[in-house]
Amino acid sequence: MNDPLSATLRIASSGLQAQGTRLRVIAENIANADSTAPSAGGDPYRRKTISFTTSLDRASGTEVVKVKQIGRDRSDFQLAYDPSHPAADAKGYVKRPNVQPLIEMADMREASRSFEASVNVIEQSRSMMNRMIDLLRG
Amino acid sequence: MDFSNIALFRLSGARLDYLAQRHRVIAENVVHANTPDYKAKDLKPFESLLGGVRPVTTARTSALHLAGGRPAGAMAEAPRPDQWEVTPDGNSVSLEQEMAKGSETRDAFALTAGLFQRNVQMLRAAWRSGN
Repeated sequence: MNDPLSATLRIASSGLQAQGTRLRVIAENIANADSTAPSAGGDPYRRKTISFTTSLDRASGTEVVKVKQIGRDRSDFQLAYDPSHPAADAKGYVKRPNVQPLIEMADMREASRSFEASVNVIEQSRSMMNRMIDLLRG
Repeated sequence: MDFSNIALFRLSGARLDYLAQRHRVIAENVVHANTPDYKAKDLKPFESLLGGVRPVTTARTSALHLAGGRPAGAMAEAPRPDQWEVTPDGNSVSLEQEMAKGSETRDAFALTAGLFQRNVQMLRAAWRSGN
């Protein structure tokens, strides 16, 4: 496939897919912002992170984006004093997940902005293709 | 009659090809807006194609060699494209810049296709009045 305009569509859809996965990870983090450990004194939900890398698409010879890995945030948990909590340890402290809603919100805005940019590229490409088809109408 | 012998058709064909390639490069930049250490790319300006420099491709001295996937010559990537910003993670893609370049490319494409079409109309008018 050497047509650059269809290659553009393939590249842009790889971007949509990557940003979609990123939004899914963010949603998991936000949903689990209050998930404490299932057992007393255990570790609560650990925030997930995502990173992207370049990958060569052999069919079109272009550089598409793909998810490199979904990792875990190694930062410390916050402790809250709540002896009546089922997940509290012997001293009455509960470990809270290391999810910061503000960071997740900022990440989400960036992901949706990048998503929209890829959609924009697809629209531009489509309008160029339509212009090309219009040539046939004379 | 071969249309590619008419200079205007040949030029607008090359221009359309160049713009489509450039749009592909822009798409690559846009999807890598969040990839760490990614450097934004761009093609050399179209004017360098008009300089009459012959495109150079790598020679294939054996049937086992792979043909280069990227177009050579004027379609080559610019060595140092101008960049608006570089983020702390080493990424130099600015979505605003890419969007601006994208619409610029789309408009230039529409203009060139319009020129092509108008030229076809002129030819048609010429052979219609001939009989």
